[in-house]
Amino acid sequence: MRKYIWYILIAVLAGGAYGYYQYNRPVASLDSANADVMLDAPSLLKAFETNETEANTKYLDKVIEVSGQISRIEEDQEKKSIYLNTGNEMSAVICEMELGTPTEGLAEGSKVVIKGKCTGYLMDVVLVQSVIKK
Amino acid sequence: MKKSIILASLLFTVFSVSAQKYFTKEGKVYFHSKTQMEKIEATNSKATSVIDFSTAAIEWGVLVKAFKFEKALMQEHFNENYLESNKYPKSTFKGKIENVSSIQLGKDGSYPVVIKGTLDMHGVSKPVTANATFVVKGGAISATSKLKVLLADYNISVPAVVKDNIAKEVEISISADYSIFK
Repeated sequence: MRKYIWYILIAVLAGGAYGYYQYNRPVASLDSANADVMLDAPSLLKAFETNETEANTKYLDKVIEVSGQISRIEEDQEKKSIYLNTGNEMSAVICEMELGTPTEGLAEGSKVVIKGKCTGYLMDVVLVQSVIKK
Repeated sequence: MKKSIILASLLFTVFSVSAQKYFTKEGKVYFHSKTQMEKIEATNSKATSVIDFSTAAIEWGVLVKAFKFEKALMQEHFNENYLESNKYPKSTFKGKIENVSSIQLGKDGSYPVVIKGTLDMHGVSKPVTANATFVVKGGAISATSKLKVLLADYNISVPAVVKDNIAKEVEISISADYSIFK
């Protein structure tokens, strides 16, 4: 009988620890995530411009590896964003970078490949948690 | 002579009209819900906003999936259960600045205004009134606002098990530095 109490106790503790871990689990970094889709910035924008509903089904929440040329780097104390040229002056692919992503050596005009999670389209296509793909 | 004056005034009008539009793609929307059980907060720093001072129109748009939470589980519940961001990926606000003429774009200062419009969230549109402050400093324009949103108004239902963890009314803070629209 005693034995069972121990088993139950261990099960409860393990369950509790798992619950606690799940509750506090941080948002996973995309650093080691595999890309679901690979394409260039103009094609990504085009997909949303042509048929937003369809592009949403295809790309929302997906890890996208997007290649392109930097048109602007926006930076403040809290965040850094890299804008990729799409050939359309009004609309870019905006990649909100993961905190602490080093961007030394990157400037307007640099060619990059960025991996980020697609959140949708307003005037621009927005990727979050982005990291520079080496 | 006359012609050049007309031309000059025409150019001036064109210039001042085009100088009435401002926008940002880096607007911030922060919300928090606080109960005795739990504090939940999230930030979205990719809001897009456009203001046309000549018509007093102001628009905001955010992508629901671009809200960042500290805890992954909260972010998942927010997207999957509450805001249903696959079905409703965007939230928008369209409105008018009531006392737009009180804002002097050419003069440094802090200008309190009232904005009235429609907030579209989770597929539900509701009229909203908010107090906002515009700050003009050396030609740069920034704006801040705070508003409260009742979750029930937007058909966001919270399951009974977590009803003590999530506030019925959520406070939203908004801020943006605007650039001139060229």
